[in-house]
This record gives sequence, structure tokens and C-alpha cells, in this order.
Amino acid sequence: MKIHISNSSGEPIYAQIAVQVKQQILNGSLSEGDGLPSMRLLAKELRVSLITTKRAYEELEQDGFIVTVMGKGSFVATKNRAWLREEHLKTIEKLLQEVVSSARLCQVSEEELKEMLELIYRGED
Amino acid sequence: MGDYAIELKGISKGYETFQLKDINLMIPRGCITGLIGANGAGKSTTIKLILDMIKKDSGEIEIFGQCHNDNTLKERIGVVLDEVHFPEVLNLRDVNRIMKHVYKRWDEKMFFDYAEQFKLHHKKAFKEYSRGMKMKLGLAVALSHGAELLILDEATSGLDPIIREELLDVFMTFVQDERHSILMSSHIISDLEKVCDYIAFMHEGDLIFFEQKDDLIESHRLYKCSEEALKALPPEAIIGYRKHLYGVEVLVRDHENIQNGVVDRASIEDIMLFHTKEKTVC
Amino acid sequence: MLGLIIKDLLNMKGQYIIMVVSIVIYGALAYSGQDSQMLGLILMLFAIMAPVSSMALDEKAKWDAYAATMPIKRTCLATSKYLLALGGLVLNMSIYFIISLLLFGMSVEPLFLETMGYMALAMVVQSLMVPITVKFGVEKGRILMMLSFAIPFGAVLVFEKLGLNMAIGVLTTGHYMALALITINLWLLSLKVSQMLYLKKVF
Repeated sequence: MKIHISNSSGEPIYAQIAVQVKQQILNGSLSEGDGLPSMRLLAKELRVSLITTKRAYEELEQDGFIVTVMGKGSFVATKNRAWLREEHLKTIEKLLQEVVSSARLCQVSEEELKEMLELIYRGED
Repeated sequence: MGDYAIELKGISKGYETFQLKDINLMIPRGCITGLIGANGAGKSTTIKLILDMIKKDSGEIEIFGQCHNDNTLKERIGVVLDEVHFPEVLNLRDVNRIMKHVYKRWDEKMFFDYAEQFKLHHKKAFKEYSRGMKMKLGLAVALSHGAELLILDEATSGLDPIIREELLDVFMTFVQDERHSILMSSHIISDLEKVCDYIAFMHEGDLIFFEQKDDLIESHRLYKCSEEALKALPPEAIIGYRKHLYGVEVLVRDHENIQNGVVDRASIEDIMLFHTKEKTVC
Repeated sequence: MLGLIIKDLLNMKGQYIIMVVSIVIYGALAYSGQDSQMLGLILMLFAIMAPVSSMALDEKAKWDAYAATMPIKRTCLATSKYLLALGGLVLNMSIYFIISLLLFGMSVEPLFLETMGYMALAMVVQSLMVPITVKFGVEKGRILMMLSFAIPFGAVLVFEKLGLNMAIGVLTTGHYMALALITINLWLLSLKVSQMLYLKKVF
């Protein structure tokens, strides 16, 4: 697991941790059933308050990404493909929102956008 | 077994020139609590009251849910004060010989392991120790008798950043066990900012606030703006401000972004300093 | 308590050699002058000084404040000093007794009484000095310490002037017993006082 905290980004640290763990679960770096470091160990290693890591883990558990078992620790939750797809779709939607906002700012039309999307999508094949 | 390591209820202590007034403070278990404030704010007095080194005028103090003047509690408390007190002719081995008979759960192996980790020479007389080494010895003793609570009064003052970092690491390792707690006072706020879970701020004998460190940092902002912008702010959001020749710096709490000005995160030090500044805008 | 005594013993690390050398020198002087009193006095002096010099070392190291953070009863801070004082005294007086017996060929009973005399004197002085030092600290107590040294020396001079040899006196056994009891009670009273002083101490 890799976590990089920025003290100056303006994002609360617990949110940064949660987002990074989520990303790693979604992109496969962390697999189902993988154990996460204990909240205390993570706090010590990152030099942050353990209340921060606790909050991050609580959020991750609430959103269904991890499971915390009393006395054993926290593990990446077992999730099926449909759920993973859901999560990815959420990310895509968010990114698309940003794309559309940027496009509107410099008056790029819907058609131009669609063209760009096709080019990029096919370019990947 | 309580949820709190230390509970101070209605604690008052008066001296000729200084008064500790009605302090209510609950130090949680399993966390690192930092006690900040200027010199003379009452931090050391509070710690000495907790340790029964001085007598309170009124109020109650409980440690692990028990009355604080039960001497056997000290088996479970490790203390490092701002000056480590050992007779100067003694060396590390002598300290071990003494402490074996002072603490019931003295762990000789652990003590020497810490000595190894801290690179303390076994036969060097205490008078030849540097300040950093003295602190490390004090800490080694505090950590080698099965203590659940570590109380540190300005223990890192006067140490260079490298040693301080080493010690902070030791503190964080100590709280890996969730039954362990730390109360540390310091005026080196940057140290506390790194490791603390809770911050208590004392000023002139009063407890100004006691909060989770993260909440403090998230809820406060430092605005740099004009005097007009300052006047436009809701007074209840203002903690304190400083006027200078070219503008104003104001610390706000729970307030959204200001229109014409620069917004910065406030450090714990900023929060502490601005609490003592002018609050009302005229 | 044991920890405190060990600390005091270890604290005097540097002083043992000096004490041994002094005893040898004074012993030699006493032997050459065939006067055991010099040796007796020096041994008594060392025993008297022990608790006060250990308190001086404690003061320098601010030990008492640190000890207050440990699971040590306040009263033990006092008691350990008295035990140290007594232990040192018994040791020194035993050395005096044995050396006098062997080197000066004195007879047992008068020697025993003389040794007890020294011991009693030392205990009286200790009874005064320790609580004073606890209350006022070593610096202020030092003056009083100097004055109280005058007691054993003065007592010896007085006894000699009056033609009373310390070893053989006109006193009866009953008198000796009474004096012993008074001394012991004074000593115990001093212990109590010191314990009270420590209980009230603030750091």
C-alpha cells in the first residue's frame, strides 16, 4: 500500500488517505482480502494523529471498501464486479463533469467534445 | 478501568502571582495529548498537581479512575520532567540497580535495550551526559517499568531536531498499544503538531480549549486581508487579529472563504498565538 | 526504600576511598599516640556526616522532586536516611571496637561503654541535624552542622576537664540504661519529625 500525504493541498488528511486507498482498491493494487495496516501503525508511519487514520478507515468502511474485524484488523472488502463497475462509473461521471465544465468555459461545443472523446477512446485500442 | 487516563475536575491552585482557575480536563486513553501554552501559563503546575507533587486548593484528580494521591499509581506512570534528575556520579548500571528496587515491574532487559537504542554508554557518569542523553535516560527509565501513562513536561525542550524526531518516534511507538496514553507539555509546537491527537491550550491559568488536533486545523483559517474585510466578518468567527501597516491577519473559526484576501491554513502555533491577540474589532 | 538506600550507597562511590585512607591515617596517628580517641572521633564524624552529605548530593541532583514521581512513599525518603545513618554508625563503631580491642589492647567492658558513648553522641547530633537539613536545606543547615560538631568535641573536652574518663564513670548501669533510652527516643522522635516534614514537602 502506498500513501502520500500533502500538508498543503487543502484537503483534510483523512480524506487524502481514504481517496488513495480507494484508488488502489479500484485499480487492483490492493486485492480482496488484503490486510491493511492497523490504524495506529499507519498513524505512526505517516506521522499523523491516529484519529485521522481512524476517520479515514471509518469512511472507507462506510463506503464499503474495507471491513474492520475487532481484534484482527482491517481488510479490503470482497466485492463483486458489478459493485466495482459502479465505483468506476462514479469516478468517470465526476471526471466527465469536470471535462464538461472546462469545455463550457472555453466554449467547446458538444460535437467537438464527442469527436475528441472518440479520438481518444479509439486511440487507446 | 475508565475511558480517561487522567481526569481533572474543578482544579484550582493559587500562588501569590499566579492562579490556576477551575480547570476541567479529561485526558483520553490510548492517545497522545499535547499541552501547550506560554511559559507560566500553568502547564507545569497542572502536571505537578496530577503527580501530587504539589497540593491542589480544590477539585478532584483521578488517574485511571482512581484517586490521584494513591502512590501505587506511580507504578503505572512514567515521568520525564524538563530536567532529568540523577545524582551525577551514577551511571546507567547504577540507575538499573536502583530502579530494580523502586518499581515492581522493572524490566532490566527492556531498560538496556533502550540504552542500546539510545546509544547510552553503560559506565559513563551522569555528569558527563549531554542534555539529549539525559532526556533519553529519563525516557528509558520511564518506559522500562510497565507504565501505561507517560507524562512529559517540556521533555524535548533544548534538544536538536534530530534527537526530537527520534524521541517522537519512541512516543508514537509507545501508543501502538491502545492501553497506553501520553500527556506531553511543550512549547515546541511543531513537535506536538506532528504526533498529537488532542491539544489542550492553557493561558494565564485558564484552559482555553481542548480539542482534537485535526478538528482544530480543519476548522480554523488564517485570513490576510484589509481592515474593511476584517470589519465585515461576523464577530463570533473571529478568534483574534493582528493589524500591521499593510493589512490585517485574522484567525477565524468555522467560516467560509473571505472575498478579498488570502486564505491560509492555520498551524497550531498560529491558533495559540492568535488566541492571545485582540478579538474585538472597533 | 531499598532503592533509596542503594542510591545513597552508590552516591558515595567517590568517598569510600577517602574514608578508608582517613581511617588508616588517623588510626596510625592514634596508635602512635596510644590514644584511641582520635580514631573514635573520626569514625564518629564520618557516621554523622553520612546522612547529611547524602542529602547534599540529593539536593544538588534535585532527586527528591524526581523521587516524588516514583511509587516511593514520602515517609520512606526520611526513613532511608535514618537507616543509612544507623547502618553507617553501627559499622563505624564496630570498626572502632575491633581495632581498639586488637591494637590498643583495651579491655572489653570499658571499651564497649566508650563505643556506646560515641554512638549515643552521634545519634544525638544526627537527631538534630537531619530534620534541620530536611527543613532548611543543606546550605542553611550547614551552619548548624558546624555548630553541632562542637557538641561531641565539646563533650569530650568537658569530660576530660572534669577528670571523668569516658570509659569509666561514676555512673551506674541504671544511668547508662536511662541515657541509652533517652538517646533512642530522641532519635525516633527525630525520625518522626523528618517524616512529617517530607509529607508536607512541595516540589
